[in-house]
Amino acid sequence: MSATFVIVILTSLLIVLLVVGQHISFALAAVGFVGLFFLLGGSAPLSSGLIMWHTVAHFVLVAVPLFILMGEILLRIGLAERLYAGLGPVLGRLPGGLLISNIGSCAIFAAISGSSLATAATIGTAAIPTMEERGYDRGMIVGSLAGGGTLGILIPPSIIMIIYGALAKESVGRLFMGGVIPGLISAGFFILYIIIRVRLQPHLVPREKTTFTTVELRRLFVDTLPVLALVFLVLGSIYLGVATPTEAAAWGATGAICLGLGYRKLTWRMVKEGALSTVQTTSMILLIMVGASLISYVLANLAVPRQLAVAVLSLGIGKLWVLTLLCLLYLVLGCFLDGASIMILTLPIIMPLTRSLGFDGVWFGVVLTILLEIALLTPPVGMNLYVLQKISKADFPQLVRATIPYWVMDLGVIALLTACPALVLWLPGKMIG
Amino acid sequence: MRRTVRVFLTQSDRISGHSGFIAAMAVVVMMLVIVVEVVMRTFFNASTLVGVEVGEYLLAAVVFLGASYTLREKGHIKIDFVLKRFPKRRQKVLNLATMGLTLIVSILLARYGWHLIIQSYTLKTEAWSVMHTPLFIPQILMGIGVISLLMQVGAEFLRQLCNIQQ
Repeated sequence: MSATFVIVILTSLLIVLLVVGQHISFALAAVGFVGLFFLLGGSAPLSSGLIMWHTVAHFVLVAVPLFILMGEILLRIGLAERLYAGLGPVLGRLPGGLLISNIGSCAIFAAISGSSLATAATIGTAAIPTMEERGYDRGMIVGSLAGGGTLGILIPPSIIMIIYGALAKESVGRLFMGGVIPGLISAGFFILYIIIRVRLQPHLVPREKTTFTTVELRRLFVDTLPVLALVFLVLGSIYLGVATPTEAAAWGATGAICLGLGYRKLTWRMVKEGALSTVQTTSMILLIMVGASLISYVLANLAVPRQLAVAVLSLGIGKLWVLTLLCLLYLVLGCFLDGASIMILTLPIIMPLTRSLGFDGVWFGVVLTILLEIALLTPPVGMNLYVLQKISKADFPQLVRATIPYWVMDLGVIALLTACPALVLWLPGKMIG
Repeated sequence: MRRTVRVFLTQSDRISGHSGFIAAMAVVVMMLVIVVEVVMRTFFNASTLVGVEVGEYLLAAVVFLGASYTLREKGHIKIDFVLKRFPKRRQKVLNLATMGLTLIVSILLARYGWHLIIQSYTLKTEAWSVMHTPLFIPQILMGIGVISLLMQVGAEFLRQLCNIQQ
């Protein structure tokens, strides 16, 4: 059976199911079963139990619920509001005022949360009312939050990177470290853009005073120190080789609970609700993985990924062209699917191709994560857009326009990382243990 | 007949709720097991050697026991921007059709999930670990999860059916 035939059949079936509103996980599983029964046949369907089991009983993926739990608890004890209240008065003095503080809060919150949606929603809820009251331009506010929010999946811990690590068999610790410098570069670009934009159009932001009091400075330390300590606990332990990402996630969640107890904010109800919410997200993502694994099993047995890699290599087009085409593919997919689904769906086919072209696994993981960040910002299904629309009540076209500069900058970061891969690979190379 | 359907719907919802709660507690236990493992290794130079294994089993339990709860709470994502453009009547029909397919998929997941469990039991499959866990034990949690999912999908299918008749 030719690879093209299999891909065309399964892809068209999947597209039809997704368009008519089938749940992504069950659509994938349905297509997987079609492949198992009709393309492989025989005793192939009997393997599906084993595929289900091996997809989820995977230690690397244990980090997924633990990092989500950590974020859920921190959300419920009001850590983001504290962080924002601490950073606001000091970073707000820079040209661009509270817009810069949005990016800063998002970057720091991203370092304790594995999700972009959570980052945009939490910082957004704290920031939008104050900023609108002070007279900031609404487009600029939502733009900075949408852009800043995407840092959530690039700056570790990142749920997307854990899934990538599990699927591509790359070290999650190295991926996490690989995301740090690109994440900071992205944040830097965003801040630079705001400063330039505000210089050119000063009416977009109100005048803020340019000095800050010692009380405000003290508040900065009191409010950001616990967060930074938690970041150090999680990322530091991975960097120093003391803990695996999964263990660091367990520490992070414990740390979040301790912080809640320290602030005298934590209740049993919060833990229960946080854990229930964690169950929902985990089950949703990992069932998508189960469905995709069924398809991957079919494809691998028909040698589709290998045939595809051979076909692309035989075209003789260069690495850069393939990368450009991949970027385009992901940008298009990003218009219709969420980041985790796109990654889970495409990686089993794309991975053999990028490997045979000689792309470094960690480098490609980071680039792919940035592409998925862009997916969060492109309509009609850019999830960050919906979250922000819900909390800001901004109209959708305005929101979309405001986020365009941010994804253009993200593309710029990808170009930079392609020109200089060391920006990704230097820090993982320095890891201890 | 109507009464039976109503009882089935409430019972499925209730079971999914319990199933979700057990999954939530499994997340907390998972966290504690791994923290204890790291503390033992770092400070007492001893390892329980079970952290990794138990973590994996608990994750499988979280995913499958949580599946029905997640469905009840509408937590499984789908693309609905195309669906929303259809007329109301067609939306209802499509919702019924997709839920019907979900029902078939859930039956297959339950069928083959339990096939694995029975196979692990009869072949006495053990984990490659110090505990030599007979694998059918943790796999039973997955089995219970898929049964609970099947019930919830059945309930949602009936709801869509009632919805279409109205």
